[in-house]
Amino acid sequence: MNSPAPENRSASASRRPRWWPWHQRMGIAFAAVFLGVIFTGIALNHTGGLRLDQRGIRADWLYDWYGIEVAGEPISFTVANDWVVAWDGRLAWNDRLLGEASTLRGAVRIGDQQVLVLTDELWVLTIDGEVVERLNSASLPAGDPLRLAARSENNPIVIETTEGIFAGGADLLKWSPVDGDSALVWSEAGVAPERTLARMRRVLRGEDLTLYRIMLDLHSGRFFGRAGVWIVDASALALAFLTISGTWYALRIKRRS
Amino acid sequence: MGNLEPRLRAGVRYLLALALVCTVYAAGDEEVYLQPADFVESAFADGEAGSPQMFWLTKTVQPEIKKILRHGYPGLRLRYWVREDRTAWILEEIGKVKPITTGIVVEHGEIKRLQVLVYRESHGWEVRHPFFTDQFKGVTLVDGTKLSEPIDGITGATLSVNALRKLGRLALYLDKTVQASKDA
Repeated sequence: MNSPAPENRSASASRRPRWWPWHQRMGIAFAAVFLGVIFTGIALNHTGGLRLDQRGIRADWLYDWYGIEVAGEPISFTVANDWVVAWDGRLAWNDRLLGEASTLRGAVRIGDQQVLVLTDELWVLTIDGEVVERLNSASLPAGDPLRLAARSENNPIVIETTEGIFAGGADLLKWSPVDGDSALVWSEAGVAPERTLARMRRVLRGEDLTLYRIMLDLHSGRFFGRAGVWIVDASALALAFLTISGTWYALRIKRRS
Repeated sequence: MGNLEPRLRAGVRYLLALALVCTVYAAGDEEVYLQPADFVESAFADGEAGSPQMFWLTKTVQPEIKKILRHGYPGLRLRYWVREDRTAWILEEIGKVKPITTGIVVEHGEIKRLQVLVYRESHGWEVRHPFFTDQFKGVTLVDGTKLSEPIDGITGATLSVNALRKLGRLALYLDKTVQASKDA
């Protein structure tokens, strides 16, 4: 492909409109934004295939950047060598998030199961932290649970509620009122090791932050705050200008030739 | 330029706070229409309570449950209450983002009562009204895991309607399994 002779090039340049240099400058200035919007847009179009909404992000600097924090103080109970922590409306077993939950009142281990009592529920877990079942008020004794104890007899679980003290039968199908027993050892809240809390805090902070969220915010410019949104808006207008002006100029050249 | 980064961060935090407010608004508050304990008490007409039982979500039943819900039911077992041929179930299914807690009474293989107990979404709460839930009365299971009667939807509550349809099918399937094990 031969380049035009110097005299032809200068003639061609002299025919260009005065705003033409802005066409070039604008294209170069917004090139990075265009590429970012294009690639994030393609990725977002394939969210399902790329499983963007299922890919969690583990990066403290991103949590800091988004200002994601865990609210409130953790309530921790230890079961054998494991920790159960209720924090910011969620329940976690060691660093595994179990789900949304109310305030934790106690945790004990019975045989090969762990029992957790919250203000409105009772959770049964395996020793590996897998949820066996969640019991609501229909399967619990009357009143709001206050604390929990374990004993190694036929009625292994004892719950004190606002209505009294109750012992749970086998498989916790039925509850019977019992007298307060000084021999009962009530589950007491403790302070989980800093390392455990740090791991859990990281899990809780990253729970809602997925690659989809990041892509969406990069695509819209929101990742960089209000300025980012304005820049993406400006780049969209610039793209419209480049498209119209480029098409207009190409048609003009064609007509003249 | 030195002040730019704090401003950007402030901008992001502002937008995040706005998104959080929108999310909280969208998520709505938890509405308890009937306590699960009260539902179980009223599930057996003459006031005599049903007997609490456990239903194990074994490898045999989970595939059928997956066909109904399009996912497995969380946990390894669930509770139900039984007296003679009547069973009462408290089941949960997510509408859009939050679980809808629903009480369902089944007798002789047909739904006698379906009631929303706890609703946590901001939209679609209309499904709690009897004009919707009464459609489930007398509905049975046909062709495996399908409802015998069509359940009319509610504009703007499609996901909640779908969740309750699934729970109706699930309760009928679980009851059928319980009755089959009794007969065996």
